[in-house]
Amino acid sequence: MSQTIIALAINGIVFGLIVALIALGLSIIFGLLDIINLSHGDFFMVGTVIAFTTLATLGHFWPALLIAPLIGFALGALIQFSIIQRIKNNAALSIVATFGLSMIIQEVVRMTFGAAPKRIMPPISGTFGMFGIEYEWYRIFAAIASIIAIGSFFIFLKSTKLGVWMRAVRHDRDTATTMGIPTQQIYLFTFGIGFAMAAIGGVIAAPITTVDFRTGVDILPFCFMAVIIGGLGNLPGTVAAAVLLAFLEGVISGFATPTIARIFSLVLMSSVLLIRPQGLFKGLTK
Amino acid sequence: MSARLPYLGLLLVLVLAPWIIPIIGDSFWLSVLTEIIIWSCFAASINFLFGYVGLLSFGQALFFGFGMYGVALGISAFQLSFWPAFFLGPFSATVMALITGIFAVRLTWHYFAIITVVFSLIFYFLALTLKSVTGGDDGINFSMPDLFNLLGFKLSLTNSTTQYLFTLSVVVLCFWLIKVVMASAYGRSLIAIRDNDIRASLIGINVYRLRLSAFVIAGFLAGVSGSLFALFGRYASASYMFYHVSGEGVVWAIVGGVGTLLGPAIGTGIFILIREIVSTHWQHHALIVGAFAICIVIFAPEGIVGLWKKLRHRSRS
Amino acid sequence: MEKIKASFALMKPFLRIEHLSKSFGGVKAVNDLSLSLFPNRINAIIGPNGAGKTTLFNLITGFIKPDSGKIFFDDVELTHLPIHAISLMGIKRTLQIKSVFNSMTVYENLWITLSAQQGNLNPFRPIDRYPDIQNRVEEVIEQLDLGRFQNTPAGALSYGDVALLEIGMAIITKPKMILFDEPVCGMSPAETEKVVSKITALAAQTHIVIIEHDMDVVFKMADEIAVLAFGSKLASGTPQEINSNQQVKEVYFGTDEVDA
Repeated sequence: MSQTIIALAINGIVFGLIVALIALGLSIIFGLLDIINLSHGDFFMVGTVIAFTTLATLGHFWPALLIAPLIGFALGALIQFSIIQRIKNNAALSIVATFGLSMIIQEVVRMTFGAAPKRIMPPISGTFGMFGIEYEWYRIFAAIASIIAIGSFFIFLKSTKLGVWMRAVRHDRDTATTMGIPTQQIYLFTFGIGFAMAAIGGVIAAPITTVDFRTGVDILPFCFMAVIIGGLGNLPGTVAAAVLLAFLEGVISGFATPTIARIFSLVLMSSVLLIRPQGLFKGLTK
Repeated sequence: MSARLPYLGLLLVLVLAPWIIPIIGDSFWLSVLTEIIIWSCFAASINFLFGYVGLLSFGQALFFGFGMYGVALGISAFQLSFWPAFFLGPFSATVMALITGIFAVRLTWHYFAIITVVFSLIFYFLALTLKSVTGGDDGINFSMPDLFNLLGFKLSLTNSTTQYLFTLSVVVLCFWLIKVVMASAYGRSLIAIRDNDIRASLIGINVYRLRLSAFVIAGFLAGVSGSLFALFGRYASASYMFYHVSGEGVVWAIVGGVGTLLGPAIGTGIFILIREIVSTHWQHHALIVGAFAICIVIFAPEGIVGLWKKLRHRSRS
Repeated sequence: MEKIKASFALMKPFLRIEHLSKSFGGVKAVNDLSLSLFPNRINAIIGPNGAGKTTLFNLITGFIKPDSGKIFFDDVELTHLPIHAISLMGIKRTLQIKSVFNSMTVYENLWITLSAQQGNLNPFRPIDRYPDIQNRVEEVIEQLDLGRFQNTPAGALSYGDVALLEIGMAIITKPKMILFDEPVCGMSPAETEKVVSKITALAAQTHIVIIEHDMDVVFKMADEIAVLAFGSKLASGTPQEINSNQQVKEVYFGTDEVDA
């Protein structure tokens, strides 16, 4: 019994790292563009589909790790340019727009990919002994890959010109514009990066979850929980919250059902919203 | 009086629909119309909060669900007859709205929208967990008690005309209530809060209390919608409590026209008609729905009714 | 006897602020401020930017709660009351950035202000069934010469007209005290003249407190001036006394006339 809990807990951490990657994308879109992006979960789903398709057409899984963010970035920038940009003055309308977008993305995937869920085999097979259980190598890889992706993102934000500009725009939009930062381009870039990160998350997750046009709907609330509990604008907090939540849910689902674990996270999220809306984690709020 | 004429005309057409529709088409469309009317009330609940108070709730499906299960469980579990069950639905939804509203209304804007989703998800998952009671996603069925049974004269909602007219009367009553309430000092106070909540407190309005009361009213409307839905299908399912249902309602309300009386009805009507008409020929109607929502939001953000009003205003001057 | 009573009334302050303090993230916006304002005169509060004037108004009207200290209006403590409760006590204010109900017409803005004061919340009585409110709204429209705009949405009004509307909303309930926050900020000389005369006329029935940067206006209108600097009271007195006060001059060094 305790071995199952250990497995679930570690699975939770692995899953949490992947979700952290996706949630970061959601957070920068929320933070910079002030948009509640209801199609963000579907960006993740598109990533899983890209992984499956890459494997099916090229015979290899690994190229997907490059293809997905490229496609994701292009699509994200396109969406920002054609849709979001035109309604940016009104956050309520963008909820409707992203909801409509979500419907379109899901339906397009259903049309092309099919409605039946599919699975892909992990590119790294085999297990190893750890804490008295047999644990899959691929999940360890998934965790490491996510950490690398998240780390790269933070380095990018801190050290590159573009990253600094993004932080400036998030901190104070108007001042950034008067300082000569090309805010429109930054928005394009942000949406693109957001989609790309979700897509990479999808590729990494594909071998350990199902590839199905509906998976976006399940993961979206979880991403929002990470963003809120971590604290809006607190990017490291979002990562910490994602991992913590997934870990807790993993453990709880060992004693009760996954549904009850989810209820627990939601109640936690409500409490945070009501008592401490700036999130549980202190630290970088800028 | 001339301002009332279009409303009365519309009402007349709707009342006569059970007899008009079989003439021009399949009587299946009568049940489509019934569904449109039921869901209009749902969209109206979202519009009430968003259009008149400025609060975007993404969790009205929660109260819809309580209305639905109130009726369904009232009949199947508590063996209630028609009218007590029909009372229990909206009543439980309203109580739920009061309890959740006390907390939710303390937040504004993004956080309010998010917490309404969170609350509705919590109860959705609870409903899934209590599968023995709620039937989970599969739901529960029940048989319809009579609406009215006096001396052998029976009215039952199993008759589609009776169903339609009953649904129409209830929803028309709800819309009429919204109209009356918004034309009162209370309604004006809500609009003041929507426009400028700081100014509103400065003139002495208790913003929290009014927002809470509006939230309860909206919960009541969503509950009525859920109850009618349960009676329509003789069925209740947890899947109708999922946030996707709330989201669709938001789209209908905004596309119809936020802050207008008939906007929610028109928005709902358009989307359900699109779904019914298109899906018989092409199974990917979701594409049209999504694209249509996006186009309206870009090109006509005031919604269809708003657009119509604008055009009429322009043609006048 | 009446004269003694009257002079006692003159002695008692209508607004009493005691040792009020408020910090924002380490900056003391209001620093142990004590101030008493007396009736039957127009009170002005002046001071350089950042002196804490608007913060003081925000504290009085309940927007923010002080870290310590108390505020009394007519001997009733306001310190921890919510905004709407303070307003219902008869304390009204205008805001620095003019702010009204943009989607409603001028008439409706005035209507709702009076209705809120009366606590009208009956959801079943249509708004045209309140003749007493109607009459008073028409009175105020007449008084402030807003007739031309009464059916224009407030969002479409010019800045000066919005300011007039705000004044209308401040007076329509016949309040006990009105706090004017920079009432002529951004106005033309003609508009300023209009506003000054309206406010001066009000002083007979209402306690008036003004925050203002325009020294011409202050010296013209005010009977009593309190100078704030760095969150506390620097000096108070008649315009002549303040004008010859060396400390005040220093604090205003370089900005003694009309501010930005």
